[in-house]
Amino acid sequence: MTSIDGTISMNECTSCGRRWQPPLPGCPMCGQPHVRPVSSATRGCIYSWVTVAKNLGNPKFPESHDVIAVDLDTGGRIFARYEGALGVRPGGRVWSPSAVPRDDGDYVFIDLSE
Amino acid sequence: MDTRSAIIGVGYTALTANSNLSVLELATSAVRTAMADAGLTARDIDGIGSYSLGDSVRTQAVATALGCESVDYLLDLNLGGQAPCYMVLNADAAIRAGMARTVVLFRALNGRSGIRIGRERLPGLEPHTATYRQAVGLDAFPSVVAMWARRFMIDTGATEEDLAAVVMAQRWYASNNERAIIHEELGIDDYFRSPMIASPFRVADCTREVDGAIAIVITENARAADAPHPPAYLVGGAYTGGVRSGQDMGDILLWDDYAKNCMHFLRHRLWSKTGLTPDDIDVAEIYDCFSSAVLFALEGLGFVERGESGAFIRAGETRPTGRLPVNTNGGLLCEGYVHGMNALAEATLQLRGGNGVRQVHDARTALVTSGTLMDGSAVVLTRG
Repeated sequence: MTSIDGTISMNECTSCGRRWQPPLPGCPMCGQPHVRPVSSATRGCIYSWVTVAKNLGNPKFPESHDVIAVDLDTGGRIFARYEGALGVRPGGRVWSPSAVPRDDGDYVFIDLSE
Repeated sequence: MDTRSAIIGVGYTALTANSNLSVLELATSAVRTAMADAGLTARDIDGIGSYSLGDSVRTQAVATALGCESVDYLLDLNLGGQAPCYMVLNADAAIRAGMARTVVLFRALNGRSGIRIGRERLPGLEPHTATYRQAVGLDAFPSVVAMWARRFMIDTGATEEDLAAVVMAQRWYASNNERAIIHEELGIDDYFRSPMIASPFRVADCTREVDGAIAIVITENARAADAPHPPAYLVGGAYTGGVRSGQDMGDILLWDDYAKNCMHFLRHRLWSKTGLTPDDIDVAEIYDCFSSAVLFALEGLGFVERGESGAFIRAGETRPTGRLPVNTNGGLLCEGYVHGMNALAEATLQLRGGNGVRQVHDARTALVTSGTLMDGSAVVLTRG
């Protein structure tokens, strides 16, 4: 889902141009059937977040951690882990540098100013 | 006011951490209790409905366990907390269409000792949408719904004190409800000592999974007057499917506005279909898997203006003597997660009266809601 150069695979409607992440056999916004995979840059803004306690959920994450919903600059919303220094805040600018690629959807974002 | 079908029976099993019973046994027990409460036997039941997420039994199996001789209407919905009121609307439609005369609706699950809600994957999707949340640790429902609550707080100015007010108000009702699995009242300091589990949710903000079942009996309007207890007549209701949802539980990647849930989108149809307004409601049983759901519903359905639900609750308006008593059984937060059937049952009991100190004085009209994410339903009941 994330390639080595820090991009994220998204889906784009060839009719309306809007993007989304979960694969679908049609555009959920305009209903047209023609969809193509695209690579999106990872820059975006924090829309919402949750700090997941260490005892809740996936044993892969033994400590509490921040999960953010990110609205990407190029369209579409994704979930990612936040490991920035500034702390999560609404509208905070974030990105995922190529230094921390993931190939299983476990995106890690940091503050864009870092 | 015009009414349609009516709820005439309510049945509960014990709500526990470990039932040591099969889900079929739980379902059958709750249905039998509801039938007895309605003064009926299995011979009188010609329809059964239920909903589940792969954790329950088929209605047909329950019909067999009950020894029903003629079942003309069966409905197994693959839905969760958005379903209870929608089930009532479906049963009413079936009754008025002549498909059945008396329908029993149930939800049964070993939600604590068996399959736990929130970790399932809906079928037919590859790669699965759930992959995108589970990969970053959004495995459990609290963390998904917390995303909504956080954005709601950002947009409306709601605070942790507002969430606390929801919990504290419901704890009072729970302390007077023998079915509640949490009986203790909660002070503000106690609330803030409750461990944070998925911010802004503390343990106290979350429902508790339980084993158990709840059933209700709904019958045609003309037949309801013969019931042993005062019927809860259906005035009307509405369901919304939620645009761009259905790929996952808590399917929020395609949901634009986390600060508005299904209740916002139900509002106009609910009031137009019932011919009522929020001012007509005497008591509200609001689906509350998490405390924030009450804030969403009060604002979404128009009981208060945007951003005012917290102050409304902190002012005591959802307490027994307030303008709108809410979740008079303690809600799912305190009675346990029977996936929202609790609310329908409690509304029926409130309209009957006689619920001790938690009884809302002269409750004549009750709102019930189901669901707190993209899709949901709501009905209004009246004692006629």
